[in-house]
Amino acid sequence: MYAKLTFSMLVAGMHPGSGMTEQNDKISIASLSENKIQEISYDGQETYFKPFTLSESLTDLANRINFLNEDDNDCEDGEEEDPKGFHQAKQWPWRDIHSHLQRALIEMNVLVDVISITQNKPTTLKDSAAESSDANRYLMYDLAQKDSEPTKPMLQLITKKKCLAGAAKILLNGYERLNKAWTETSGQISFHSALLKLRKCWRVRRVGDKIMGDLSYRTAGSNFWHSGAFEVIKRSGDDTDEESSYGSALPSRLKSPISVEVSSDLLGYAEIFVSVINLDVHRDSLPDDVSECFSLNFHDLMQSSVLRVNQPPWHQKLVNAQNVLFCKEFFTRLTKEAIQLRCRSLYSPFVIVGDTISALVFPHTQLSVHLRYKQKPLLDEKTGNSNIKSLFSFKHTLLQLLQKDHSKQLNIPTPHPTSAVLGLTPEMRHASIQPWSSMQLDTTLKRDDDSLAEAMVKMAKHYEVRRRLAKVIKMILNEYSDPDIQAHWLTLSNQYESCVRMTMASFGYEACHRTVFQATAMADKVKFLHREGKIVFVEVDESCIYKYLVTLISGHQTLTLDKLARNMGWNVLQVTPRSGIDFNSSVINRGSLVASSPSFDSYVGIVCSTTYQGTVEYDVKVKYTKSPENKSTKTSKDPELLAMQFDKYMSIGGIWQKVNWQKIYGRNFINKVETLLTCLVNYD
Amino acid sequence: MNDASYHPLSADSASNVNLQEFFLQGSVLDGSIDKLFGRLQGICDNVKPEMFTDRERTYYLSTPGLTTSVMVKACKSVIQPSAPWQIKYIGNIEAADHTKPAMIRSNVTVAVSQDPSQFLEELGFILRYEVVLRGQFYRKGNLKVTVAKLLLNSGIAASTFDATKLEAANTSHLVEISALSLMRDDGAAEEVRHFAQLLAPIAMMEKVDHRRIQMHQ
Repeated sequence: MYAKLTFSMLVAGMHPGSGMTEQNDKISIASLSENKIQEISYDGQETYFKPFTLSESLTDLANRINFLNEDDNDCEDGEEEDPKGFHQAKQWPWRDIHSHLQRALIEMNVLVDVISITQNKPTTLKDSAAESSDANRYLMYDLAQKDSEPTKPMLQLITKKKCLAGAAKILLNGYERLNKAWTETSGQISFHSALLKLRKCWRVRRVGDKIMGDLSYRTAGSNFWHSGAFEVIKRSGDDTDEESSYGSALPSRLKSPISVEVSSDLLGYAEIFVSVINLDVHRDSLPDDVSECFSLNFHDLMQSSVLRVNQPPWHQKLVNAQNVLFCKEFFTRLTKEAIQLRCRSLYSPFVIVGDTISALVFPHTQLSVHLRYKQKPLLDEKTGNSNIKSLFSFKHTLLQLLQKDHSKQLNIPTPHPTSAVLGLTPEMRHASIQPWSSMQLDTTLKRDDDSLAEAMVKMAKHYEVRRRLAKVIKMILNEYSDPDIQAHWLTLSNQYESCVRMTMASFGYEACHRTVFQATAMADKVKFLHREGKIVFVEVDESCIYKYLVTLISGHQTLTLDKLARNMGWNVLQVTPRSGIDFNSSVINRGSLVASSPSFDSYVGIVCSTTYQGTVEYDVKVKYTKSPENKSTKTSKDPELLAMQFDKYMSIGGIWQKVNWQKIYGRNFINKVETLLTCLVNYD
Repeated sequence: MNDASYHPLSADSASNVNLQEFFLQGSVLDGSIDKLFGRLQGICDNVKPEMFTDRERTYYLSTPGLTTSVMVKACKSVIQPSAPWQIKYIGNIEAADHTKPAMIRSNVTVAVSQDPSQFLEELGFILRYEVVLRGQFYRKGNLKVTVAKLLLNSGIAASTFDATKLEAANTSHLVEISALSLMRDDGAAEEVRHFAQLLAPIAMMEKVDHRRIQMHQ
């Protein structure tokens, strides 16, 4: 309206050149429209707001009244009303929004107040002192109760069923998959699982695109030249089964997808055969062969056929090959030592022929070590020979020595501190700072040094000596029943020595006297240890041992007699267990005893002698002194002699008379002597 | 003692003197030490590794006129106190060769009966530092491999040695591979280098220029 008026006046004013002379110009004046433009359409059509009807204008006026501002307007200036009313007119289109926001603000304030009251927080009001400290005074929280929904059991059941079905499906899927995988793998053993099994027992490594393994004893400290390498080959299923060495075809489930190739010189079966042979041609009895046939794990393979089934064929092959390698190493080592050894304890030096090492340890005893090598297992040969007695100690000792040697290579004591020289023994380390000579050092070094050959020779000799000692003891036991002899072989023995403890006692007179001694069979001598501490070394010869034992028997008899006589109250005038004198030269030893009765009536003289043939002879003589014949002979000769006057001279004289030993009652020699002594005392 | 057959220990062999040592050194952080142990266990001889704790004192003798000083180490084991003290003379590293695979120095190790510190001090040696090495010892044939942690005496006085008051100097272990051989016999160098290659990349063992380290002192 305004604008149009202006435009018209501008139009009037801008008419140039007319100069107000022409009054023909028409000036149109139009009032501006009262209504506002609501919309101008694209074709220029204008749409106006409809003017208010009466009721509408009344509503409009009523809305303009701001009820909230009334209280404030009372306090404040009335002049501000007008600008407020003016502002209200301006705010008109925003009034709704304004009121909405106000309502929201009111609600928020209420909420804040409620919360602060329930929490009893101090508000901004000035009269905070009047507040009570009790939190529950004005407002408090309480649980809101929800209305419980009516239960629908059927629906719950259905939902549960569905959920469970879903879970079960997952589990079943997993189970099926695992089952499939298991049946696949257990059906035929796959290459990788077989390889894993192989790797559990043997050392394998990948070299390039091949898989190589090591079955030698290098990692245990062996220095043998053979590398012991084997190759693992993947086998396709079409290959025929060639593992029929045991004669039975393996079931198809053991057909392994891997096969193993060992070097050709380790194929076959090997075994070390050690024997101690008695070459004495005079003895026609069964040859006392002792043989020990051993190899590393040969018996484990052969004996248990149950285990055989479960073992895959490559394992047996590898074990065999390792066995062959071990036997080879052992034999090579032994050969080397046998050549270098200057063994003074051998009767004849080592003779090495092919794969047999033999030596004479005693004039008629041969020790031989034989490396047997066959393509087939040696099972049948072993069972055929029934004379073989197995000596555990041979095998054990030799294996132990070899292992000790290996470990000595490997387990060198660490130098403390680490900057010290590597490889010295503790004695050597101390020797350098103490005044030791090299000879002393040598003795400490040699102490633990036992080469294989020496050990074997020693063991063979020991075995032979022990065998001889046992034989002699048996012979003695058979021949002499008079003093009871008992022999107990002690378990306290090692591979080079063993002991037997022997007791001699006459039956019935064990408390009287007992001879106890211990015989130790060593490699080159027999040692006798007596109770009184005496040690006697005897040669290894059987007859020597026999003779010594017989002398012990006769000595025992003499000593028993001594004790017996004393026990019975007789006076022992002289006892000599050992005297080297005899009138005939067939006697080794002569033990004698002379005793007199308590009343000096009679004398007894006993001789136990050992002959060179190895027998014990007894000679018993008795002398009576106060016998009537004696008296009569004496007095008949010299009637006026002192004998008539003094009785004490009656005890002199008398003739030694031999006793008829067969007729005396008695179980054994000592018993008979006791009878004799008893009789003699009763005389007079 | 039979005089006629008196054989003193030093009679025959002079092999303890004039040895040369081929060695390589490296280090590995404490966090990766287990990997190194595992690898060493597999490569070295089939023996359990042995723990060791050594006290090492380094003495220097500087003569006026010579630029380099003579270095002698006195070592003693703490774990086995009955083992004798060792004096080790270490020569300078032969600097000439880039062709040689490992570092070379001459090495003479001798056992002594008592604590040699007074003897060395009277000779004119001065104690530079003392360190305790604690670790494990591995062996492969002739090679010695030690993996040790350097520990320092946390107290000041060098004479009072308290085995409980040791603290680590840093957070890594020192790895050293060494092999002794006669003079001018170089076969062991290749072994040392080959072994060092097996330990990479856990421990990088290379030839270290010791002169640079010594210049810092």
